[in-house]
Amino acid sequence: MVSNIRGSGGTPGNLADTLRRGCGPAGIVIGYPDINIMTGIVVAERLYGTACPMFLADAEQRAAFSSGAQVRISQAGLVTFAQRAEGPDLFP
Amino acid sequence: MQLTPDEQAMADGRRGPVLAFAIGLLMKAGTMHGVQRFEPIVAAYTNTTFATIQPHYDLLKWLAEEGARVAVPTYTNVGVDDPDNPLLRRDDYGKWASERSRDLSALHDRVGCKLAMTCAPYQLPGAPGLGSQIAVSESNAVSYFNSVVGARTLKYGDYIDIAAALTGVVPHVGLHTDEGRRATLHLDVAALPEALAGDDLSYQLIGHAMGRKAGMKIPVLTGVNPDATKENLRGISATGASAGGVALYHAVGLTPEAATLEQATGGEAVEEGEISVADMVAARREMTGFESGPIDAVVIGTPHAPLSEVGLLAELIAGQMVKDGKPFYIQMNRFVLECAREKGWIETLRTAGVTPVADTCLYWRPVAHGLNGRVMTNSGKYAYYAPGELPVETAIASLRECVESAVRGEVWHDPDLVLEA
Repeated sequence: MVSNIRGSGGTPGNLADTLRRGCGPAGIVIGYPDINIMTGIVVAERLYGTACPMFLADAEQRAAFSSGAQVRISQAGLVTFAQRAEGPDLFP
Repeated sequence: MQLTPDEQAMADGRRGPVLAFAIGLLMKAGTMHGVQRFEPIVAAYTNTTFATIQPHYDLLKWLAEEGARVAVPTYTNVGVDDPDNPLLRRDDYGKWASERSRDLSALHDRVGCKLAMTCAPYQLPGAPGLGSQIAVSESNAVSYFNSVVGARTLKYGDYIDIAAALTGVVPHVGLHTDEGRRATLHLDVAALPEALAGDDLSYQLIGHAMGRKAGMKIPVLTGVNPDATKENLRGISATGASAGGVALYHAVGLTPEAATLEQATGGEAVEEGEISVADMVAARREMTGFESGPIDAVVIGTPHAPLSEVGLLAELIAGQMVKDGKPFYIQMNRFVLECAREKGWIETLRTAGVTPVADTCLYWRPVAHGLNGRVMTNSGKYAYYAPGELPVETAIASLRECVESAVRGEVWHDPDLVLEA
């Protein structure tokens, strides 16, 4: 999870390469729609059939993350967002 | 998004899988920002020669095998290999990467790209002019084209640049529009001592400080030396884009969309700030990893040096010799190299122990021969990036200081360029 990334033109290629190698992120939670991340994901999907959903979280949601909120991202790209107060993981 | 019949044909797959994929990528990008339509471009500048990573090959190979061709003149950024300097990257990794880089360039050639192999394509003859819509990825070129030329591009990245080149369009948004180019931050630049104000070093410091202050805003500068040349403004572009993320800045009286402060801001009130002498001292300190003692190498030309800088270096170093055969590199594009050769400057440089380098970039791995330890440079961009990429410390200096230090073998400070807050 990141609030934003520093704009680098090399992001798509490097992200696509980590997805190709199987060591990339399972999904990305980010504060604003980033074209470079989207591009890396889409190109890796085209070339290698990988999946990596990107989830946009606004400032309020991001603040909740730091207090223990959880995100589950399914293979099909379904994103579930939940607030955890105390206790066990919401997505065991 | 509203598509023209031609764009619709691409999107529907009637013009083949490559264009369907390319315009699909651009439509996703446009939709993310609520864009209504595409904008035709006249040229594209792609970054995908720069890194020899597998997805670049795989995508370009697919494009070449499908018979894809770029729709507008498309120029490549640097690669790894300089055919004139086979010993530049001479270890096994360097040789391997150089060969892969040549293969990747050949794939770009097959889809119709011009192998310009430069991060400074704005120096090439026939480069786009004021108001031209283009697609550029290399950050210094984005800022130079937008700011100094007045051409229009977002800061694109890998693959979006190729998609724009193949389709000939980009989403009509941000820096492609009149409204998107207005300054949102006014920075007044403090007056500098005369000697420093007249030296290219000052623009490296201004750009670095601007990058640090601008964030995602579009800065407009006042107070910049009115004698600044386009080559000087290149320094502000490059360091503003490396130390920060500036894709467009205006400089009142110097850049084409800022005859006045009002023109740059569109008459709107904007956030006010300054670049003080203290900011420039801080910028210099940030780019200074060592202040005295022996040096191991000098690197000039990040971004690729303009012809005027090659000429100035030749003038400064003529008749002298770099001490102990230490590496002294100046990077430039092939067009500038040929112009400099005709003027006799390349011979002067070689005689003095300077190695002219073309087609590549020396803050990028594989490590070029001798780039270990303490490296002096007149480039804020090199000073900023090289320590993160290579086993080096860097120190920024004027071109004259770089030459004198190389000849002495140790750091020399020009007393006229001392700056104190």
